[in-house]
Amino acid sequence: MPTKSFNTNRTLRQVLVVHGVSVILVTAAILGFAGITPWQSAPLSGVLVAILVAMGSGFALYRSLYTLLNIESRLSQLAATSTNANDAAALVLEPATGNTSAEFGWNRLVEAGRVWRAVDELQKTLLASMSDRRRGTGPQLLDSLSEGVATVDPDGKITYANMALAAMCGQSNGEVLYGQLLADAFGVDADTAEKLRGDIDPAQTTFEWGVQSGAVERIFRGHRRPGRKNDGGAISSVWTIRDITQQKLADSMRDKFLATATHEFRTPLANIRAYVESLDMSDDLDPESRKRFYNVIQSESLRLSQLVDDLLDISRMQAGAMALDCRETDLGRLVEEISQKVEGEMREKNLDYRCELPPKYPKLLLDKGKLAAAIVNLLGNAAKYTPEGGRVTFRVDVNNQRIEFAITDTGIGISEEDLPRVFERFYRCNDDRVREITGSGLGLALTQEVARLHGGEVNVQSKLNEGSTFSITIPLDSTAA
Amino acid sequence: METVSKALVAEDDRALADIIRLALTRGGYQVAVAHDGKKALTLATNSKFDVVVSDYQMPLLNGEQLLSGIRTEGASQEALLFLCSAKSFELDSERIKRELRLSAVFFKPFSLGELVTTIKSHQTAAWA
Repeated sequence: MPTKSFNTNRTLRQVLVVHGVSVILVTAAILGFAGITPWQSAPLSGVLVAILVAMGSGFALYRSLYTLLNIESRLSQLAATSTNANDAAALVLEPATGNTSAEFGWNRLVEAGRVWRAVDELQKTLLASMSDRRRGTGPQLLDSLSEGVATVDPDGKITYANMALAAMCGQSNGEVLYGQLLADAFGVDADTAEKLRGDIDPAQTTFEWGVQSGAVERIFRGHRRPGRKNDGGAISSVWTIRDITQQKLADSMRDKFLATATHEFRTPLANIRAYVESLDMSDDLDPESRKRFYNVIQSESLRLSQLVDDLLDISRMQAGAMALDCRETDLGRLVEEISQKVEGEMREKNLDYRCELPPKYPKLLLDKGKLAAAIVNLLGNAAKYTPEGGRVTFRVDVNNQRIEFAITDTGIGISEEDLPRVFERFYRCNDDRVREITGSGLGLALTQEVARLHGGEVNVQSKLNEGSTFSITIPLDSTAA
Repeated sequence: METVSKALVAEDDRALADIIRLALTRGGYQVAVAHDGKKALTLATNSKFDVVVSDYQMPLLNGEQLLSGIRTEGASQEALLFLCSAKSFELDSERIKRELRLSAVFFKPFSLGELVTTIKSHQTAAWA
């Protein structure tokens, strides 16, 4: 379950993620308060508040969460962190003496809080180290940087490398690299090595290069600055190097998203423009055609509006503020409506569409609109990625603990490489058959978030060229009406 | 006597394919429609079309593959080719236009009237 944390710094977030906690980060108290409100009914496992937060007081936010929202009845963990140990301890202890049970996640959060304080101590040590620079503790300071730093002699051989640079080269300390060429330390190809030596353009100071690390290519950006001249007049250099793999990935995903979103908007817009123009230019249209044209304009407008909704949902999801509107739901009718929505698509592709439904449904508190959209999305995917004449089965299974909506198709399936990534936002499988079909890569991410917000999950089993089963499982205890 | 020109529309979005067909029919063309690239290539290879209007992103063969196939062999090698696309900045339309000798590239949403007028003007220029 996701944990919402306020104004935690990146380090703390990374610590939580490493410990298996899914983190939603809010970086200002005002956003934090607005952000937490829709989560009142959501299955958050905890909230972590920093006492010092931007745009407001973490202390007030913490109090509001605890008292105004009566949030402790839903959250078993509410923790605070501060660089002032006394503040944090007082706030952490106060609600913990209530009736809330201390679960595993609580310990994780408290532990994370401790780590945060340890990071703060580290920062203080760094500051002290900086003031001691004149006394020769410079290398100690350099080892604390996340950026790689190296000095190279006029022959291009490393004379110093800090810890971060050693880690980039797969080493545990910098000394191992002394005497090696920088290019060799990174294991780059001959062309890149030539560039890094400055043989091609001695004036070039900024370089980017890739290093294959298993299946992943890591991208580095390095800046070279001339250092001191030695006795013979040759110049040594200082390198600062950063691993920009994640930044590059984010840039590439943003570009892909922009391209996909633009494409998705243009298609319904093309229809609307063409049909409006045709209505405008054709005075002799028969009433039946006129009606059909208006219907196309209406359905394409709805498609646009759905796309805008999806994009907004994704944006809310990224901000951690997607909310559920849970009401008692007639599941039988919901399932019927879902089937009606997709039957046309199934028929059009001549698919053998089957429903296996239970005789009776429990009454549950669900966000009908969002759950229906999630299931329709899975059924729509099954229809899209199953060749004509294939089979799609929609099965609903209920027992005492959970309800499961499973969609099985005999479609193109998903490769082992793509399977772990299909829920990533904007990800589309590396399969020509998928790329030929329009899609934003947002559907599965949204479906997974809707399931999570209901306390459930989405699972997938698939075999390339044989078919897939996607199932949404929702526990009954979190949704019992 | 002037013969009726034959146009092929390759577009997987059925609503858009229908309305382009209508516009071209009203413009005096005899129109065939295919909803995927492969079917369009089969039609264009076996019958001579004077004009081909193709979408870019389509199942089985994309617009570039289709138009390249049409230029390479079959009955419609000399047809006037037009590409329509919902992609803009990520499509190297100038390269495709040059390499496949396309008459024009249209970006969605485009004007149907402009599409028909452009096709006709290119035909007139080709006949001149």
